[in-house]
Amino acid sequence: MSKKHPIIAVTGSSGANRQTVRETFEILCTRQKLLAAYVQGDGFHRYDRADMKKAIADAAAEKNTCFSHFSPDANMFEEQEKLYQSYGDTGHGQRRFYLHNRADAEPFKDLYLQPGEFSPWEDIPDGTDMLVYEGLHGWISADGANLAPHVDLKIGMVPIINLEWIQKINRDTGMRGYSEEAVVDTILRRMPDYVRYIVPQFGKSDINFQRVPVVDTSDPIIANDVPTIDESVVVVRFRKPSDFDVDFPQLLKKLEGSRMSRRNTIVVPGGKLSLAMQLTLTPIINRMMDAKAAA
Amino acid sequence: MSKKHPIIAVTGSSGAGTSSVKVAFEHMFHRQGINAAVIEGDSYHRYNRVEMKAAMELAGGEDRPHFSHFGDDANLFKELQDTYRQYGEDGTGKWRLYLHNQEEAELYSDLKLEPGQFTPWQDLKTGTDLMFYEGLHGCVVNERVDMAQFVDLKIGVVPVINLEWIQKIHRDTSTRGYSEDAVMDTILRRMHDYVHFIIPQFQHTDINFQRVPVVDTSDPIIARDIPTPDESLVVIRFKDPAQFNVDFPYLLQMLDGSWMSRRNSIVVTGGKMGLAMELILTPILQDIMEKRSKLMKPQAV
Repeated sequence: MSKKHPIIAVTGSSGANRQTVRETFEILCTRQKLLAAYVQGDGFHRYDRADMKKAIADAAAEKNTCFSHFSPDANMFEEQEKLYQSYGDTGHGQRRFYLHNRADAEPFKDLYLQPGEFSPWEDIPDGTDMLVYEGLHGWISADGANLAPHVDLKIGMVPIINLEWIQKINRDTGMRGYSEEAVVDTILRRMPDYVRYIVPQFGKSDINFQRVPVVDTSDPIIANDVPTIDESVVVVRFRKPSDFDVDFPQLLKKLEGSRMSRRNTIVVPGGKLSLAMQLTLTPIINRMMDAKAAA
Repeated sequence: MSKKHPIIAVTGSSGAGTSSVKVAFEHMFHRQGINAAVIEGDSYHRYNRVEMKAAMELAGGEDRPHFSHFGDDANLFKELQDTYRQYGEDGTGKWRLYLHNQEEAELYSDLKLEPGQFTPWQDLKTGTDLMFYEGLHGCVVNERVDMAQFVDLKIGVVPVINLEWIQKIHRDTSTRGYSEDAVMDTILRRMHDYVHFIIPQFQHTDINFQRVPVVDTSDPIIARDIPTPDESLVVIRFKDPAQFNVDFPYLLQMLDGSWMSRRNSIVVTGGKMGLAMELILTPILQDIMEKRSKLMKPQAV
């Protein structure tokens, strides 16, 4: 925790509307004239695409069939902790990016970097107001690393598992040309580490946004259309509403069609996800910035 | 499919709400004076409790870590299919009971049966109007069996997976005294068969009832309270609404707070699940019975 250089972490698997969070932060920062240092979890993967393939094969040869990007061994939590520590202390630190595709690799063509490789480590720009991490392991506690104490605001973006599967199957069979069988195998292979390392983080989040589809997802393997945002509701849960002075009556008034489902939980129509995020996060960030100014 | 001896199958894991469906059907059977041959999925387990334990140890030793009650090794799919076929043909068949607990075993004390054992196979009572199956494997379709072809009304009762986990963890830790880790291991072990044997059935079902919680279930391991019906929604999807002449406007009117989410799907509040079931299933059941009685009349004369 650092009043002077706060760290906000967004944890969730890709596809779990992490994009919406990113956009929300961008809108928020523009409006409040704030500068955020964005850090992607992928940058802390231990292996690039080619090495990861090898690592999975090696693990399989040693009868470890669970090895995946969820696993501690495939990540450099120590580097991530170093960044959190130094950013919290000084507002500086190092990050790098994983180049997912040709567009990501384009700016690094002078360095002959290919999609599937990492950009070189670089310093976080000077004068940022906060660090925003976005990835799978925002406040992981495993393998000697304990990141939660460094993080000032923990946001979980979590789809229910049926939805997550639909999205993965859809993306991997559609865009990446894998067979359904192969994708299901991958999902099952990664399951133990998902349960061991990703899921427990959501128990510690300050706020969870959980997208819940209201269409039939009983067979995620054949549910061909990913439920649209209008075919979902979003469950927003504050671990301790008093920590953030959450004003539920205000939220209920501003978010049409919303309602409370538990004393710390509000349900909003899917289409209102972005608005709900702005309404809940703005006062929290404002307070954070006030504390920063006072520190 | 058999108009004369129709079969209704309710497929889903226990805790998903299969018991609510069963209760809804019991009401309707009672109201309409229907005499049903009720069979339970557990009767078609391959092993009794002691044998299952041994089979599981054997599977573990043979590097088949996925062995579970969800898969085909542990169940008599062929026999269930034969039961369906036989009943559809002439309304007869065999059945047995798995004795879950002391109370159930008590009734068979003269046979010296223990909890965890099966009763001997016996003939179904004669003169039933329809067969009603409730269990995990009501409409399995794979390379070896095709149960779906024999079932006249296929109903899926399916929780989202997070919810299923919460329920299992809750039950096994609180009433059976297992540790959370042990329960999670079991869940993960069974996942493979869950995905390969349970889930694919839901593409063959005519109507799916899916309970969707609207409370945070992101970490099923720490979500200690099972969401109550009032903390959930139920998504009801008809594979082919025209097949059952589903009257959506009527349903929307009768079920306060409901709405359509897709052309074949209606969402109702959790507390209305029982009512929704009766409203939807009553006309379908009546239709099944009318068709049957038309066929049975000439015999009666």
